[in-house]
Amino acid sequence: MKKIAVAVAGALFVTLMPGAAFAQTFTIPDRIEKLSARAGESTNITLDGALLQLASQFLSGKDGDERAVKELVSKLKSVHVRTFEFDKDGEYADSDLDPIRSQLKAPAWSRVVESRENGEHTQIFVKQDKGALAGLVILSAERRELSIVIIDGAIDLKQISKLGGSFGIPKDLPNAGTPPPKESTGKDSPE
Amino acid sequence: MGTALAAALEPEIALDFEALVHRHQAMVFSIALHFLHDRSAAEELAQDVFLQLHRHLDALQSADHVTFWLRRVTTHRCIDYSRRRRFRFLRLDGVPEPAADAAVSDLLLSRRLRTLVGELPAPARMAVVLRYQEDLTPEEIARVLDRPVATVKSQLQRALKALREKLGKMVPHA
Amino acid sequence: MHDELRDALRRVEPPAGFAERVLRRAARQPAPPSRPPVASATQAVSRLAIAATVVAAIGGGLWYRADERRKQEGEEARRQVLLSLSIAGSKLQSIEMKVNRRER
Repeated sequence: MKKIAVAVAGALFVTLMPGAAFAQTFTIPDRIEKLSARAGESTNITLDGALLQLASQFLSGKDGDERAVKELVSKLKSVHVRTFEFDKDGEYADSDLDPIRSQLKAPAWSRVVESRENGEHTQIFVKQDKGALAGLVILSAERRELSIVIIDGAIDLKQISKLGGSFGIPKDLPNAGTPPPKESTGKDSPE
Repeated sequence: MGTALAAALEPEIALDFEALVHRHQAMVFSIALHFLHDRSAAEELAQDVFLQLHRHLDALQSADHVTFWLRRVTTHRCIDYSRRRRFRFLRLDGVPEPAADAAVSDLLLSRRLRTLVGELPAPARMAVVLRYQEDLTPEEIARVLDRPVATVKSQLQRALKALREKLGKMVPHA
Repeated sequence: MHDELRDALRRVEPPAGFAERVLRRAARQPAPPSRPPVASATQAVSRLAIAATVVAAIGGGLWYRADERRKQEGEEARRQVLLSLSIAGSKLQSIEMKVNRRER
């Protein structure tokens, strides 16, 4: 009887593990949410399946960049983004991210990048489902900037990475200038 | 019914897209320019705002509604743009100089002020642009930016204080 | 300081040809539905009276507001999706750069 109970419990455990067929619900701890009060600038985005679907209806199917986003979004279940920019060091601790890390456990999740450099700690976690990527989490902790990106759903890392230079945003490079204006023939030239 | 009647008796509202572009291009472009401090980015952003207007024109009900809508969309796009930009460049080349007959010291002061405004944190920066470019009251700014009025007033106060301090360091007797 | 700020932040015209560029791009988009013009005040009043009756009868005004609200929500959702994916993309690129730098 005991052996059967253990087997059933094991089967239930496997079924309930993240990475199974249904979407994972992420909890962003209150301690993180409250950082917005201390940040000079912050971004707070939470998009569930319904909002992602709604957004998709308003994305252009003709514009090249938005078409790519529309396709990407069609496979996503949820998106959470929190970014905070502080005016001084020490407004948060790396350990504040532990409650998020605790939701990213093996075997469903694996940490594919870990980088510590000049006081910055960056981690990327991915979730796999039947051999394909089914989730992405980026935790980027810098001295005065904290970024948390949680994407649940089938993702294409290369496609997302390309979007960092889209919609008029310079690619994340040290000497990037601003993108050339569309059809601009302005007379004024930069000094 | 009274409001609708009054609106119907207004002079015919020109919700003709081309006319709206000509009427509002300076407003939209200037908000973007003074906030982003980058001429080419401001033009691109302003173009996108008008294209968005073109898509939503049927939902707008009056000339005032259009003005409010344009200010709101422009400010939100500017703030989004500044958040996405990883590295902030404060280029001094983006803003045209005023008329040639202005006193040199006025020219320098205006230029310096524009640069200092560009260095303010984004939320305060936008409040200053709307206050001094568009002459909006704090209540009107709060509606455009979706913020409490008290927050806007406090941001304006802090911004003016910061600008005075920085300007004072540049020009001791200003 | 107030006058100096007003002066410094005066509206400026966009570069020459801005309106033409916008109109060219807009022409490539689907045209919005056109509004019938109101020819005179009298016609406006009578048309308005009829329209108000119809709207009141079928609750069309509510539908219109709900539709407008939906459009606003949709645009806001679109804005947030674009912003969130561009933040994710920027972060990935930044991390990739750091990793590549270290591997050299």
